Amino acid sequence: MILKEERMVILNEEDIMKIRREVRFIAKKYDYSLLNITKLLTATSEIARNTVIHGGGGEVVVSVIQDKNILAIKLIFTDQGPGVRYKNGTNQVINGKKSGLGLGLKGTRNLMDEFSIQSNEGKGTRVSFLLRQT
Amino acid sequence: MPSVSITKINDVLIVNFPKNLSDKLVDSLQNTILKEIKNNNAKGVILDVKIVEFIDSYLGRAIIDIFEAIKLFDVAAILVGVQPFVAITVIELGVNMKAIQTASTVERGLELIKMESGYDS
Repeated sequence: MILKEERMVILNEEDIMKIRREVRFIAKKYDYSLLNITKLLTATSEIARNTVIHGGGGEVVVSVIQDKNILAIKLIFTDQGPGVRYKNGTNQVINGKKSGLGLGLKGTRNLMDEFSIQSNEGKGTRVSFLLRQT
Repeated sequence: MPSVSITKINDVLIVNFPKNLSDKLVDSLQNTILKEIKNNNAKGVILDVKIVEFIDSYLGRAIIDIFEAIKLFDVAAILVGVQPFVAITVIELGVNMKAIQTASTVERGLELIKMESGYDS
């Protein structure tokens, strides 16, 4: 069941900060622990920045999902940028402008309960992640 | 727009980070801090992140760069006030901040700098 769903554009740095504020607001509203709020804010910041810097802007859909008694916040970022290129057969990013890109994606995967990335060179990128409330 | 505030205790600069940093602010930090070190002829710098909500890879990288630059000035630098949740998250994120000297509070940071640089307050 979707309790809440919200779409926001991400074109610049102000939008990144706006999304962080919104995610903080939602996580607090649904009683997320301070640790989980910190993790969500960090993940949001990493991926939103990628969307601006590497994707040339895009959008995010923030949703709150409830499945039985389990509540989760999910974010789906999409952009139409050049996409992420991986070194053959590995998950090592090779076309990041700064070394920060690979670390941001890998790190975000560590922080979240679920993480996925779909990216084809020239066809944009879709990154989604989810963190459960408990 | 939030910004850093810099105060001076004897010869040590205390740089207070705001709760929420824009990337633009992060980009300007190194320059601001190095200028203040030079203008004040500071012996030490304490970066206080007590109210910072999270350190992502961008801010983490910037802090590491700032410490490296400060070292070139032969000035002691200490990071203080990292909140437990921020520390856990930054480690899981994979940002390696091992090279950075830390202390729990500004007071403790001041003591360490005093010991290290041998200056007398």
